This record gives sequence, structure tokens and C-alpha cells, in this order.
Amino acid sequence: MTRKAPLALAVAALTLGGVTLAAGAPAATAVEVPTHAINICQSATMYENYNFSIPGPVTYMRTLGYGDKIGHTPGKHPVYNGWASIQDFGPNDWGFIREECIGGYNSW
Amino acid sequence: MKRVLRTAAATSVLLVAGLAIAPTQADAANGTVGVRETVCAQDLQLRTDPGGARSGTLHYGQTFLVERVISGWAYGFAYGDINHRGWVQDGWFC
Repeated sequence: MTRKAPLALAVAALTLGGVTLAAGAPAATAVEVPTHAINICQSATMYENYNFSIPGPVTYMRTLGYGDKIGHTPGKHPVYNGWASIQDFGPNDWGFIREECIGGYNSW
Repeated sequence: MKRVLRTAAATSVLLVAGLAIAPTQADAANGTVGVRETVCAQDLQLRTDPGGARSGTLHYGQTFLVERVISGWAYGFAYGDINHRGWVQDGWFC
């Protein structure tokens, strides 16, 4: 019994650590998938944020080509001065492109 | 000798576990109304409503003035790259 105690203590410590770490992990938050669309511009610059103090888009992310799959739900995802919040279904990250470059809703 | 080794091993595990836990607990705290909190998450999405559409992304080290807290969501002003009001998931402040 005495010999097993340190091992049991170690297992308990690991279990406790696992539980505590799990509690610190991001909480599951269901996020609705935006409406499927494509980029209909020859090329569209994607920025990470829209900075209201400029105002304008900031932090270049990448340039999207015609037909690249994106997501945007009109009336739900914000559009600031013509810059629309979109999800790029390539890397599955979010950013802003010009609203007029969004088209082909539900085409894929 | 074996008992000494086992005890030492168990102590090491506890120490390692403790070290691993401490930063996580310290890094994840709820926001306080009226306080300009620092974001401790790598990315923290700013949303139009609690759980709603994404309107920007705050990064580690940027700040957020908490004005209201409701059911795990904090409303306030996002400084840094956004400078606009919105909702973020609570619990990701330093």
C-alpha cells in the first residue's frame, strides 16, 4: 500500500492536471456557417480587420482569385463602408473584402 | 532506494503538473465591467451579438474595455486594430 501511494499520487496529479487544463480550454461555441459564395472579382484583397479610427481595412492577409470559395450572409455579417466580413473557405479564416466582389451565392 | 526514487518521481510529476496548470489559470480570466482588459487569447473574435456574426479579430496583448457582461459574453470597446464596440467571449482576459 505504501509503495503504491506515490504512483497513485502521480496518476491523481496527472488526472487533476488534465481536468484543470480542459476547463481552461476554449468553450465550445456554435457558430453558424455563413452562406456559401465566391469571389467574383479578378482579384480581391483580403484584410483581417476594419479599423474604425482610420476608417478603413487593416492588416493585409492575402489576395483572392476569381472563384475562390468564401462565406458571407447578407444582412447578418457586417459590411463597413463597402468592406464585408467574409470567411475564406481555403484556410477557413475570416477577413474583409469589397462587398461588390461577393457573388455566386449558393453556387457550391 | 526505490521508494526514494518513486517519491521523487511523484513529486516531479506534481511540480510539472503545477507548472503546466498555473499559466493556463492565470491566462484565462473573466472581464470586469469598467476595466480595460488585456486579451490573453491568441485570437479573440469580436462579434455583433453574443455568439453572432464576426466583425473583427482581437489579438494577444490588445485591449478591450468591458462595459457589460452577460452569460459568458462581454460587451465593450475593442482597441487596437478595430476601435469599435462589440461582443467577445468572456474569460479570455489576462
